[in-house]
Amino acid sequence: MDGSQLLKGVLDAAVLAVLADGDGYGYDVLRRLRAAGLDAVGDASVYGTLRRLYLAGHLSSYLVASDEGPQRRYYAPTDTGRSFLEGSVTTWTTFSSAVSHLLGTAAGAVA
Amino acid sequence: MSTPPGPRTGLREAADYLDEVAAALADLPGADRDEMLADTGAHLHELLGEGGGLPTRLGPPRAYAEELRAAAGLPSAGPAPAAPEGGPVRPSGSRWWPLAGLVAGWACTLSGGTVRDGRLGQLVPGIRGHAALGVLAVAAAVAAAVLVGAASRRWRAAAPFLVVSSVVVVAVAAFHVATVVRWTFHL
Repeated sequence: MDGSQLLKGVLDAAVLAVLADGDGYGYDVLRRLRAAGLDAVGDASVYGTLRRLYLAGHLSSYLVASDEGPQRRYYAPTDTGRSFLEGSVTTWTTFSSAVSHLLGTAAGAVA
Repeated sequence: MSTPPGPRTGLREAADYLDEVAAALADLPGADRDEMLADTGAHLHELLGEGGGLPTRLGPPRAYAEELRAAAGLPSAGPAPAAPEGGPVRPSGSRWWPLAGLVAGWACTLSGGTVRDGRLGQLVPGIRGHAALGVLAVAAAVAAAVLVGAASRRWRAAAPFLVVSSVVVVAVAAFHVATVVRWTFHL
């Protein structure tokens, strides 16, 4: 199964979950997603997702000067972003337990 | 085995990569493009210290730009950006044509009308004392310009040239028509 297709559906929630743990800039969010096990996530996908969530009002942003180069744009979840994340958690929990149950049954049938 | 690039080589590579991403985003609205490019520039800078080459790490710049657009929910640049057949009229293309016609038609009535009246009191001077003729001339010029604009949309690459040349042709034609009208009727 292609993990990148599954990732597309949950990237919004994953990015919001990372930022709910603490504000972060693009590369920081990318590293935290990969550290959490989402190896397949693309750099541009994270930056594009941050931009879209920001335009949708789910994130606010602020610039912070960096000693090493250009200033970094930090993102933080807004109230609507947090309620969107709560909704996503409910949807994901229901969905994933249904699929886990289904695939668990299938695994038994295959074995 | 290749040696890791020096700082200057890396900066050059980042600048080139950013230029190509910018070119692939050139059609986007200013705020979308500028902020995404600023973020991309910052990201490339972060990656410089890691070595390995940007295209190896990120893929080709155009693919990076395409992934950015897709994730941001912005329209794809596509292989050949073409106007959809029978789609809605593009406002940016159609906006200037009525204005060009208005200017040309107004110039026509000014040259044809006010010389006789000797005043600029009316917004659209009449022709041969008939206010309706002046308005009619302006309306005809606007309609002609819109028709030319609609036709030119089929050749988008040639549109800027067509805009300029058509405005000149319409203005010159309007002037000559006005002159003939003035001679004919001794205005």
